[in-house]
Amino acid sequence: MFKLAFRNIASKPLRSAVTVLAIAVAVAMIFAMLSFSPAVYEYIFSTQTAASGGSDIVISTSSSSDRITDVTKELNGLEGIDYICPSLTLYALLGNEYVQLRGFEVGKSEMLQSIDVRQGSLSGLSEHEDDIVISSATAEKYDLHIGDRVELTLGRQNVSFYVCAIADKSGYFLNDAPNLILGRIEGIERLLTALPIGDKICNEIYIKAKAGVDIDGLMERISSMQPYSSMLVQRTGGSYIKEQADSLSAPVVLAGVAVFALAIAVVVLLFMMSEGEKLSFISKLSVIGATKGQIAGVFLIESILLAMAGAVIGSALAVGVFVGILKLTLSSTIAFGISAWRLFLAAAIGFFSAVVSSALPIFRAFRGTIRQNQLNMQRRSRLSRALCPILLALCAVSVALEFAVPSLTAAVSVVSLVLLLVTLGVCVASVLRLSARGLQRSANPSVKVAAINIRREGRFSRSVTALTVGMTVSMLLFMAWSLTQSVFGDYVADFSDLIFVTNVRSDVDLSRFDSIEGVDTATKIVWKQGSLKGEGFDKTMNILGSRDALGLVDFGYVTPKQEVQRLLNDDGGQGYVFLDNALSVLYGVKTGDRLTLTLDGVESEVTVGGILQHRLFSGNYIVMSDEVIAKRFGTMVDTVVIKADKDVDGVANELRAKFAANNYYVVDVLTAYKWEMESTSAVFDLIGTLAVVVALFIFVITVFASQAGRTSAEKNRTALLNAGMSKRALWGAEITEHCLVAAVSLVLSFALSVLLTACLIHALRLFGLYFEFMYEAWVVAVVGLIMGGLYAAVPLAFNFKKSYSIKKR
Amino acid sequence: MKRKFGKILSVMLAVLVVIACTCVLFACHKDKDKDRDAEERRQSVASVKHSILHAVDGEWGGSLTDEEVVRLDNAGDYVVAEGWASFICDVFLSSSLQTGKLKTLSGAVASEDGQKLLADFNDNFELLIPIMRQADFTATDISSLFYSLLCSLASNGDKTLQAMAKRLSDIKNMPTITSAARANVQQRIIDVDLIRSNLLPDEQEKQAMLSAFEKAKAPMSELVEFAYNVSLGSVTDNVFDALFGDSGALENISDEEINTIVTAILRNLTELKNAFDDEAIENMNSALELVIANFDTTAVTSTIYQQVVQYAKYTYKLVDFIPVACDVMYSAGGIFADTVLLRQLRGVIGKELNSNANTVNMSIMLAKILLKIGEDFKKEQLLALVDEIGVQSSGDYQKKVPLVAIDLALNVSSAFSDSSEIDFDNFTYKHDGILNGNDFRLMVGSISMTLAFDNFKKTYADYKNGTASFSQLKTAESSCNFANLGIVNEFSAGTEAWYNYYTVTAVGIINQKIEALSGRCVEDLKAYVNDFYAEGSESKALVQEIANWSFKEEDMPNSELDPVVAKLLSSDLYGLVVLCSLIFA
Repeated sequence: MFKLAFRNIASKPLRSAVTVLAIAVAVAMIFAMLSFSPAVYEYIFSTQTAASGGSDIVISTSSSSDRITDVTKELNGLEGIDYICPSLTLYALLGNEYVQLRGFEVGKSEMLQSIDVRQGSLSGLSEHEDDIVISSATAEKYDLHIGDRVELTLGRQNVSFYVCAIADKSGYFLNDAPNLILGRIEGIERLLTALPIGDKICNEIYIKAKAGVDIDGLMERISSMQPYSSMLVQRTGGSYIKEQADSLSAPVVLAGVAVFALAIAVVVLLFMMSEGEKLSFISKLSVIGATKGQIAGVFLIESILLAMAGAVIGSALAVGVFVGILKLTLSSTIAFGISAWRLFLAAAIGFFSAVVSSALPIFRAFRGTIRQNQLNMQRRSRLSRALCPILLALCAVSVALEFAVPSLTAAVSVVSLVLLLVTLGVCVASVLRLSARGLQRSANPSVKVAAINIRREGRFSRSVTALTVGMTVSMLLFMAWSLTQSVFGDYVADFSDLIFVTNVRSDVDLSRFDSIEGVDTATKIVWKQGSLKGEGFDKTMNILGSRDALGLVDFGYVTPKQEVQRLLNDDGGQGYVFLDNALSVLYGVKTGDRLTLTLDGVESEVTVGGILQHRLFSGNYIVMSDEVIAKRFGTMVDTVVIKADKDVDGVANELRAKFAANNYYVVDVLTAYKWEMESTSAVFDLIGTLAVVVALFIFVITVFASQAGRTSAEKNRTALLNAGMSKRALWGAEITEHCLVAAVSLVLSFALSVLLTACLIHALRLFGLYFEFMYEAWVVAVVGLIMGGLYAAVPLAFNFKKSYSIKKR
Repeated sequence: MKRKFGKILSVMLAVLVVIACTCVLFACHKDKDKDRDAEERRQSVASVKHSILHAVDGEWGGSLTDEEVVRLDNAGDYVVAEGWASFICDVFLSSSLQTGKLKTLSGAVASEDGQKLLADFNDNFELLIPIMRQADFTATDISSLFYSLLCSLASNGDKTLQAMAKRLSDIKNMPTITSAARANVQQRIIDVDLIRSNLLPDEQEKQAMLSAFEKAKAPMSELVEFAYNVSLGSVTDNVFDALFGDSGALENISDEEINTIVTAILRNLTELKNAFDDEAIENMNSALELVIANFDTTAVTSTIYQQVVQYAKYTYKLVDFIPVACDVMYSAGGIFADTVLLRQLRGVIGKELNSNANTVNMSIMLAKILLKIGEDFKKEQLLALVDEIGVQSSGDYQKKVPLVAIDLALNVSSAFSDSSEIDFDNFTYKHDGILNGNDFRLMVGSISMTLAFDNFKKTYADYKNGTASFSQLKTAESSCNFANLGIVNEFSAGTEAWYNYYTVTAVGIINQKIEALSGRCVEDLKAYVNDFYAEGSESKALVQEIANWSFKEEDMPNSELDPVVAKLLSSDLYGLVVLCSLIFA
């Protein structure tokens, strides 16, 4: 039996190779989808904790605390602390752009993170207080080399530094937006004051607790100490990282369900490609007296061997390709963990799918007679005939429920997603045959022959199914990519005329800004993050704390604008907050509800005063009065938002020049969010790359599978040639076959992509993300046209005409 | 099969070659960076050398050949200056200063201010710190360079002089030398020989010096860094602008932030004090004594050499007082913890006020500092402190000057209390039984002499080589106030004997006189301390009264000054106010 199994594998090398490759690709795709979310989390975690490294607690300044502090004797002597790492972080201007300066005490620069030096040496940091370490990105951007002098400006202080090392994008430099420069506190504090203070002052203190110490208790003890009682004492890391990572990976996780199903479907289809041959072979074996057990054994061994090879190659491919994509798009220096159980799971799914799929032809063979098997007579059972309409009906019901019953939208949308794809896969073959029937009336011999072949040969059903489902899933992945980008970035364009002025004191006089040419309005605002808790949710929200916030953004108003403004101006002690419609839709939040808001470590009950509508922060924002924030949370205004009525860059430069002595940080909103989006843009690249890779894999498998299936029709082609059909006409027929398959796939995929996108957007609500429907037709069209076009061009690309022969081989 | 194998082999070889080339390229690229850095350093230092020499004489350059040198009338001066410049530049080259900083330095010394400073250090001393800042020198750079210069002096001074002597000799023997140049070279040969015979330590002494420098390195570096940091610009400008300025990174600085900064500065003081334990002071004194003994000569014309030795001498005078001074400064700094005072100061700082208002404000601050010191130190502690100052200032007269200066400042009030002019002969001291008769003259004389003696010696050297006139020499002599010290020189002015009388005999007499005087000053200071701490102390009450005055936020007319001065004079603060004004102006 082993010999027979091996001979079967060896007799069809192309088919065996394609089968193994398909299983391998399926394993790789499954692994990629399983590992995507953890990889994104690892990346976001590394970048968000780039500053804090291995520490547990950070003490930092707030708008209502002092701007500088020191490590007191009491803090040094506090029990439970493993180490303390003070740092001084400032923003200064290098030329016209802000850079982030971070200083450590001598010998402590690698306490939180290691620095991977690409050029130069870190010893400069110990030898000279004015030596600095920059990232390779910074070196490239400003054309800096080792030993170069760098002049930085803060307020009226111009201070020079010297580059002693250039580092890789790892550790601290994972968060390099704005560009990070590391140095010593002694060197950096020269920007604060002309007084040589040494390395005694800082504005951030990172603390690592000893193993087993209660960190919350430690934080409480620190908060009770002078001068830290007015400062922010927080855990490093935080739950926001998980929220951010989940939000970013949500569309792909959902699309991954489809990829998952597709991966299995591809394996199944591939095994079904050789069904005819298998049936014929089984019948021959039956004729010569092989038992069912022996027959099953032969095919099982064959499929196990192929599946194992596929699983092993797929595992290697999975790790290599996925990690390679992560290194290419996210970061080349983060060590992404490879989860052994996910790899095993992916391999196991691929293996078992393959083995089970290979058993299907055997099962059919045992049901049919020897003659039926020999003639490869496909009898569609009553069930298979009814499957299409049943699935269509189920889809209709599911979609209707999804759109009609808001409370079920999120959950049902996943079902709809899967059902639509399954229905597409099941019914597309029928659509192809119907189309072919229409073409059969054509006078053109190539078209006629093509139509007849399509209707008669089962391989076209499988090809159109693979291509259509593959094309649709690719479209879904690209839509997920487009969606992620839009959701996290598009609203920023609405703020192209806004400028942030930060590092201001709460009593700053706004008239100083109003008097500058180009400034339309100046608004004092609290611009921070807090966490909002309600029934069924606990989210990190972006707070726009100003009574004049409504004028900054073009909100939509579910609650009338006058009412919102009235309540903002006259709170009446209720602590009114104004939330986005997304929270109403997702969690049923309504006006009058009491929620809990935590800001700067202070918790307070607030009342929902009204509902607004905007894509701002994907709906995760709160508008509230700065007075309320000051009263309830003790947090003072820390930002002035300027609306420019002319060239934003020009106004920003003027503001910087006018307030140079005051050390205000003036940055236009687009640049500020460019810094914010720096890490997430890498995730967009990852999603885009994954989409391309998956689409490519799917396409390659589909093409090779169809070519493998084409070999079984060689007799037919020879017969046609012998009957007098010209090679050209035959070639034309094959081109027509491919074109029709491509056309049907494109039309159905395109049509269904709208519904699938709606399902995807609805399904995002399961992740706490709410969006209005958005659809980028061009993305879908491009994907479809490329895949369809390439598939239609296969007979040309592979030059089928060359292989035509009137002699039987 | 063969052809296939051959193909494979060719491909493998090609790959190996590519890999090898890549490795070589990478290695070369790395080495290229190092070579480029070394070349940039050499060029920068060469530029510094050129600037140093060009500042002295516009016709001089960094690398004149012998043929070019013989055409100069001051060829000998050039060779000596070039020798010292090379010595100093070698120190720069081998230092750990960043290459970029050497480039910046070359620009700074080539600038107008840089050339001015190098041309006449004493007259343009105020340019030193701004130029160092322009060159981005940090405190660590200065201390590291200072130490390297000292060590290099000890270990390479002889080689430098040897090279100078050889080059002078070679140039003298060149046929194309002019007669003026020959004369100049001949004179310089004599000078260099003199230095070599009198100044240079032998191998054992060298090792002793290097060992002493090594032991003193830590406290020396701390002190030099502290001094440089304090001297960055004007102390008052920086302190008050930084602490109370209405702009900058700490705009609208809060009281707590001021406290944080002041605490940080005071902790620096503590670190400085901790670096100066008894062993460190002893090591410092040993090292500085060796420097002064071996290198203090006017025969070396290099400005930078002279300044290094000068700073060593200043440090030598003060090193014993550093721990004490730190304690007192730490106590004084504590007044900034008073938020009421801070708010008062905020109303005053940054305003351009006339000298009358500044005098009043300075007096108030001084009074508050004295009261704070009085709070922080018990009487016995201060008395012990004064005794310690007296003990530590034993040795030569220079070490006693700070003690004498403080006592003089306190006694100035007595000097002016009866009239607007000091009558040296009929002087009533506050503590008449302790100080007597001529002591005031002695105090004034010793301080004048300490401040002016080095200039006198330099002027004499210039007079000898024809660059200073006789009247300039006489002026330098009178600045030393020898008369007040009871020194009468009967030799003809300007002669070697006359000079040697001052530098040898007079110094010996002065040492004895000031030794005795310092003992009385110690007792007098202790008497002032006792007055301050006495029950119902009038002295303290007066200081308290001044401390309670309101800060002047506007100019004060002269008509309002007299009662202020009268009060200051009666409180013994007047002299201290004048002293502080001189130091911090």
